[in-house]
Amino acid sequence: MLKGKGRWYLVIAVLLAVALILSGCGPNAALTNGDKPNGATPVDGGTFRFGMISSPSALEPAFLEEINGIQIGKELYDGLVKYDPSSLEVMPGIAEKWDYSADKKVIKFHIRDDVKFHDGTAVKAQDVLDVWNRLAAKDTLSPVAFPLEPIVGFAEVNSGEAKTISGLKKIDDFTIEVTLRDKNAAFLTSLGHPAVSIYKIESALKAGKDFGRPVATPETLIGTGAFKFVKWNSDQDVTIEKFDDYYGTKAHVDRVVYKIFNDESTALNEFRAGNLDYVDMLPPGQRKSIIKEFPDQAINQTTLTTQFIGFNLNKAPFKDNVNLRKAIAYALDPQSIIDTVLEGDSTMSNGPLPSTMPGYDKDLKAPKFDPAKAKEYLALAGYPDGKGLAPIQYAYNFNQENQKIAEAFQGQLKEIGIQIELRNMEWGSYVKAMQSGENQMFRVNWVADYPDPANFLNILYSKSQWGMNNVIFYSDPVVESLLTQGLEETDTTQRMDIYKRIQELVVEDQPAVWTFNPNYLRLFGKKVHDLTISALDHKDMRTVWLSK
Amino acid sequence: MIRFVIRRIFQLIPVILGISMLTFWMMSFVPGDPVALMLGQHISPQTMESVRQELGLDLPFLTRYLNYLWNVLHGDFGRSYIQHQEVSQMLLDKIPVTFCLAVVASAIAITFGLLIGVLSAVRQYSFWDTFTTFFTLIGLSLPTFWLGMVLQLVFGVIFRILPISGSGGEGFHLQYYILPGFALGFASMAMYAGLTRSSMLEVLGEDYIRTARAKGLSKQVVVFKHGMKNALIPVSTHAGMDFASLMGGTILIETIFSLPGIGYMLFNAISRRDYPVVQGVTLFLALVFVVINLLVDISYAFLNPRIRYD
Repeated sequence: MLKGKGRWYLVIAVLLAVALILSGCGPNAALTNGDKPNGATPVDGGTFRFGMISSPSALEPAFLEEINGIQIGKELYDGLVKYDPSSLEVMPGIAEKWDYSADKKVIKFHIRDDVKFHDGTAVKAQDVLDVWNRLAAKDTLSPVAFPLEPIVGFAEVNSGEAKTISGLKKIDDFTIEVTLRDKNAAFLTSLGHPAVSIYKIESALKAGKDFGRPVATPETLIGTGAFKFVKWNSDQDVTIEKFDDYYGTKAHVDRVVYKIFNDESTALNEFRAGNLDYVDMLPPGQRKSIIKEFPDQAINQTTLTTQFIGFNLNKAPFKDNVNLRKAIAYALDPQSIIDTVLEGDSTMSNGPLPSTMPGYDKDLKAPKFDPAKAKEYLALAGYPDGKGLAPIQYAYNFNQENQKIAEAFQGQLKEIGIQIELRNMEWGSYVKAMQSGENQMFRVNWVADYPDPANFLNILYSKSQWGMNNVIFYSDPVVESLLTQGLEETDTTQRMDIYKRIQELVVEDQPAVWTFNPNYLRLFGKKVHDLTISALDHKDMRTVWLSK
Repeated sequence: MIRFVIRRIFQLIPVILGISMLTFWMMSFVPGDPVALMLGQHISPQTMESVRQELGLDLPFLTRYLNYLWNVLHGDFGRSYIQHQEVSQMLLDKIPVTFCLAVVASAIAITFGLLIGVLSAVRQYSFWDTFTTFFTLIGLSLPTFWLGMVLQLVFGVIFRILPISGSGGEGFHLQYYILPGFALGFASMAMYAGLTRSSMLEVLGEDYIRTARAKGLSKQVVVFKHGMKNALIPVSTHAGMDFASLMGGTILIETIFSLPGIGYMLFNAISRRDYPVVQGVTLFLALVFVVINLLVDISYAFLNPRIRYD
């Protein structure tokens, strides 16, 4: 037994051990792996344990809006088309082919005759019609019915005036005809969104409000995807299982268990302990130490997301003052924020589209950090050295990272004499304030719903979206007409040229300062192979396999 | 005594009403629009307004509150805006997890707290006594979430002897509750240690203890049979209120350890402005608190006959 000084040495030793843990010492060496998994022969079987941060809100296609719901939903349900996980090109899904009419307003979809629901029954044309009518219905209140908007009669169903979309027609059991109001080159791509994917409507109607919620059962949640639903333990996990009668390439893994966490550090600890095969989101501010700890198990994905500082063009001081907007664009230095606050976890943005989006123009001449030019434009705006310019409010939805970025912007603008008042807001209030045009200057983060430039340009810069998604209240007649042309043009090369011209015009008007294209760091286990993460941030569970 | 109990039960009614009204009022004035959170940005302001009407969120505060109260009195706590489930069903599903966590935390806190407290009282001014004082100070000052993370790293990642998170599925799996129970009960353990120490020191100085010693009884019998029996009175009355505090203090711990209890549910509901769930959980926790408070008051009278209520 320890006596006298010995006891104190013991206490000191315990304290030192606690201090070591306090300083964040993790088990670095135990989990390093130098092997790159891709390229080996796939092995079937096993359970893929997916670390997911925060619970999906719903697994009903009509409510697949947030990324976690979409992640699981796209494994459970297939739509008429789907995206190639690597290139994001539109591929046949439930529909094996489609034909356009001469005026490109009517599309005939030919449905495969071997597609089965998870209960073994066949998928037919009427199922597609029923699911889409339900998605469009007023009572459904779906926030993601937008892919169907271009169809004739959608508005009537969405407002409650009609029960069925008049532009949808069943030709035979395996053919449907869709009539669009106008030519729409983005329509087909938008059909890859999981909201319009197909499920068994009878069981959904029977389940009522419980459909796609935590109380769902395999008997009520019947989809068409490569995996079928097994169980959703509320706030704990969602389990899906390989569907053996899937019409397409079957999955390698038998099961996927999405383990739900609210805290990124807990998920990271589970990964460290070998209890997860993949972690979707990592604790903020630890990027460098995580890469050091798992040098060959970390992947960095650039997604179809863009962040920008929006100016309210309907409100002073930005209304009719392009010079002030340009002064701010030249005064800001996003790269320094990427290097410091974001630990390199983003790339610089040069315009309205993220670099991975079709139609992206790498040669766009958006203003780059130049304090001298910023002062020049500030003087041209009527505020030399910021004199006479009242403090400007900058609003953002509150989280630690946004707060740090806002403070950095505040400091950079102060250098040229512009005073910024920070307004951190809770998400709901922030969205409401943006849509009502209450803010002067604000942070916007736009994540693509589908891989088409229209999903950014026609939504964020069209007058038809004022007060909804066009929260900067931008409107320009030339741009508006080009946006329509862009939607209607079916020749891809010409279409992309139109979108490049739109980008040039928008950048000239400077309704925003495009700052970052966020990257996301993910961790995968040593046994994980061929895990593809698309630019839409979909992790494909059909291709992934686990070595023994 | 019976009159006292009945009177106390009636006193609970205004307390519960007050809490429900306060929660309702607070949730109404917290910034954030539940409809915007529910439906996202793609939906038109007109649709948002119609949903707001459907949920009754456009009605005046008092009308909404009275409607809510009427429904609660009929056993209807409403439906979650997000999960569309009955709040009462959600509560029934989650309460066992939180209850088990609070029980494990209490058990750890009481067992180790008493042991440490008795040891330090018996060996006053010794190394163990100094260590206990230090331990009490650390225990009361350590942030719970930090302790939780450290426990996960040490026992889950380095030694890999206990699960890091989750509840282990259906049923009660003790191993999943040990780390969160320890993190949750650590401050209580320190408090029990301090309380037991002072209570024991007071008792050990009493005449009847001196008499017991003079009779030649062994040290163990004197301390554990005669001393502890009386020293435990303040500790046991405190245990009830502490249990209620532990039930309410599970939000952080359940979030860190991904334990699907009512604390975890409350955390998610607050961040999503899921009013019916927030109100349901708060009301339940308030009920637990006042009922345990009542039981503690009643137990005083049994444990200490000198206490009488008029």
